[in-house]
Amino acid sequence: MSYSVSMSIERRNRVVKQALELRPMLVGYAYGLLRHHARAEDAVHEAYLVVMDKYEQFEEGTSLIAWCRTILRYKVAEMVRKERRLVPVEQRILDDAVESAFQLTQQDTQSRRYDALAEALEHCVSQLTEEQRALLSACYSERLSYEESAGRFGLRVETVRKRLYRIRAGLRDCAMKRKALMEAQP
Amino acid sequence: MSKPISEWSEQYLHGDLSEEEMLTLAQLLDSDTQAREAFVEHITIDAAIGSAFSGRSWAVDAVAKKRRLHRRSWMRRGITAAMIAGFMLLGWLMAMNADRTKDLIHERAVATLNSTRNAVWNEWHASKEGWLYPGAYSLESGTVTFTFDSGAVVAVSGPAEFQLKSPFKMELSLGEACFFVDEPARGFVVDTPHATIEDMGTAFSVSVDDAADGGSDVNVVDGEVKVTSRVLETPVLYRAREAVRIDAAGNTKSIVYRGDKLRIPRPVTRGAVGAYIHLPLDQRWDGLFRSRQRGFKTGDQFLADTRAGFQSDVAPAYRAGKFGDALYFDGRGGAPIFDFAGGKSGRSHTLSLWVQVPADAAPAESTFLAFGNVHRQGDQLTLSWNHDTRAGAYGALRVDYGDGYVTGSMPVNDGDWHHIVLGFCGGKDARLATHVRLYVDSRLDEPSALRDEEILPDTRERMRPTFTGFRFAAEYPFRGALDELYITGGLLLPHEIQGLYRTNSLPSG
Repeated sequence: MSYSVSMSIERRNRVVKQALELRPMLVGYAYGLLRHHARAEDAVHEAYLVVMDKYEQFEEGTSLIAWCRTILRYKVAEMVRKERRLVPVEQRILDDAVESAFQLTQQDTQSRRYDALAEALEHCVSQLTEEQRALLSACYSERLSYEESAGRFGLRVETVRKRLYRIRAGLRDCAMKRKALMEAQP
Repeated sequence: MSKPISEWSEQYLHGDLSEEEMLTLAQLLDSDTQAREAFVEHITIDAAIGSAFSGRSWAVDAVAKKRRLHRRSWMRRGITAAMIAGFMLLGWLMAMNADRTKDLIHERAVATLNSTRNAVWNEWHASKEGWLYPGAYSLESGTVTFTFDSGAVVAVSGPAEFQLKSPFKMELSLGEACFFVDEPARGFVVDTPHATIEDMGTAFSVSVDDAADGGSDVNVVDGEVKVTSRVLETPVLYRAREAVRIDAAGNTKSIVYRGDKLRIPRPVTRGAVGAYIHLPLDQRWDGLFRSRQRGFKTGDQFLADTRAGFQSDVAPAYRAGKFGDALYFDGRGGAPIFDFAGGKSGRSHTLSLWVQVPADAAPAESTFLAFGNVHRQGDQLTLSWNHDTRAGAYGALRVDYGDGYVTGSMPVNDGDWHHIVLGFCGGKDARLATHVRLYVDSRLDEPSALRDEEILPDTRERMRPTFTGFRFAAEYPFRGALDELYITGGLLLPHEIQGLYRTNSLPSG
C-alpha cells in the first residue's frame, strides 16, 4: 500500500470515527426537523454514507458537526421533497427557527456530554416497568401508531398518548438527574 | 414564556401547535438562548430514547434480561427451599426439567457446563444442554467446572454463592473458585464483596469468606492479576506465586501462597471434533475446490466449478492468502454455491473463516457469504461486515436472518486478515439473540446491537454456503478475500476456536 493511499485511509478513518461520535446529536437534529424517529435514523444513515464517501472534502480544523449537519440537512430536504406536501408559511418559519436553534446550540465538544447522557439514559431505561418498556417498544421498535398501540394494549388512544408523554418525561428527568449525579462524583 | 419549554417541545414534535403558536415558538427560539438550549436538549434526549428502543440496543436488552432473571430468582428461592431435599438426591442433569428450560429459552447463555462432581445445587439457571445463563447460583456442595463463552474456565467448590454476569464477568460472594484465563478472555473480571480482580492472562484462585471479619483471598498461580480493593480503589498488580487477602475494611495483606494445592481447571479436551468440512480455498488445476471432511453424510460437497458455480462471467481470483491461496473478489460479482449435503442448518454448528476486507471497501461490498435456500427470499442467513450505522458498530461482523440481525463490536474492515467465527447453538426455538455467537481473532465479539428474530424450522434444510457474491435480494457484490472455511457439527469451544485461529487446524483427538 503506497504512503498516500495509507494516509488517505487513515484520514478517512479519523473523520468517520469522529463523525460517528456525533451520532446522538445528528439524530437529534434530524428528529428535530422531521419529527419522526425512524425517518430521522434513516436520514442520518444516508448522511453517514456521504461522509464516508466525501471525507476528503472536510476541512480539518473546521467544525465537523457543522459539516455533517449540512450533509444531513440535504438528506432531510430530499426526504421532505419526496413527500410533496404543502407546508404552511408558519411551519416554514418555525422549521427555520428550529434549524437555527440546532446550529447555534450544537458544538463539536458536546459529544461527550451526550455520551454521558446516553449512559444515564441506559440506567433510567432499566428502571422502567415491563408495561412501560412494552409501550415504548411498540412505538419505536415496531413503529406502531397510537391507534395501533391502543388496540394492542386495550387502551384508549388518548391514554396511550398520555402514557408515552409521561414515560418520556420521566426518562428525560431521570437522565438529567443521573447525569448530574455522575458528574458530581469524583 | 406562557408554558414550560418541555410542553412547547412536545407539542412541536407531535404537530399539535396552532399556526399562532408556531410563530410564538419560532420567536422564542430566536430570542431566548436558554429556551433554545432546553428545546434542543429536549429533542435530542427524545431522539436518544427512540434510538434506545428502535435499534433494540444490546444494553437495553441486557438490562431487561437482568431484571427478568432477578425476579425469577426470588420466586425460585421459595420454591427451591421446599424442593431442596428432593433435588439433593438427583444429579445435576437429572434435576433439569422441561419447564425450567422453557422458561430460560429466550435468555442468552454465557457459559457451558464442563463437569460436575457430587454437585448439590440450591439455585441455578441452566438448560438441558448444559448452557449456563446469567443469574445467581448457589452450590451447596461438590465441584462444578464450566467454560465461559469468552474462554475463561472456572472450577467452583461448594458451599459457594456466585453470579454469572456476562461472558467476561463473574461475581463470587462466598466460597472458592479457581480460574484459568487464556489470552482471548484477557480482562475477565471477578467481583467479590471486598475487591475486584481483573485477569491479565493467567491462572488464579479467589476464596471469599463473607463473615464480618472475613475477606477475599487471591492466589496467583501464573501470570498477573490486578486487584482493586472496594475501599481504596487503587489497583495493585500481583504476579505468579503471590497471594493477598483483602478484608472488609479494605486492608490488604500478603498471605501464605497456597497455589500448589489448588486445582486449576484447564480447557476441556474432548478429542477430535466429530464432523467437519474444511475448504482451504486453494487453487486446483481442474477448477474444482478441494475439501476435507469427516463425519458428515456423504454427498457432493463443494462441487462448485469456479466458472459454472459462480454463475457469472466475473470469477474471483486466487492469490496468496492467510494459509496457502485465498479467494479474492473484486466487488463486481461472482458467487460460488456449494452443495453441502451434510448437516442440517437447524442443528448446532460452527462456521470459521478468514476474511480480509480492504479499508476502502464500500458499504455495498459487505457480504461474505450466505446460507440457506437460495431460491426463497428471506430464508437465508447472511454473514457480512456491518455497513449500517443504525445497526451497531460500523465494520463489525454482522449476521442477518429475516428482519433480524446481530452485530458484533470489533471492526474487521481495516485491510488486515481477521479470523471470524459464527457459532450457532441449535435446538428448538432458536433465535438470533440467544443462539448465535461471534468471535473475531479468537476473542468473543459481544453484540453492539441486535434485532431479534426466530430462526424458523422450515429453513433448516441443507446448508448451502454461498461465497458471495451477492446478497440474494439486493445483489451486493463482495470485495475482499476469503480463506480457510471450516464448518463443524456442534458448537466449537473457545480454545478450539483459538486452535483454528493459531494453527488452522482442529483437535485431531
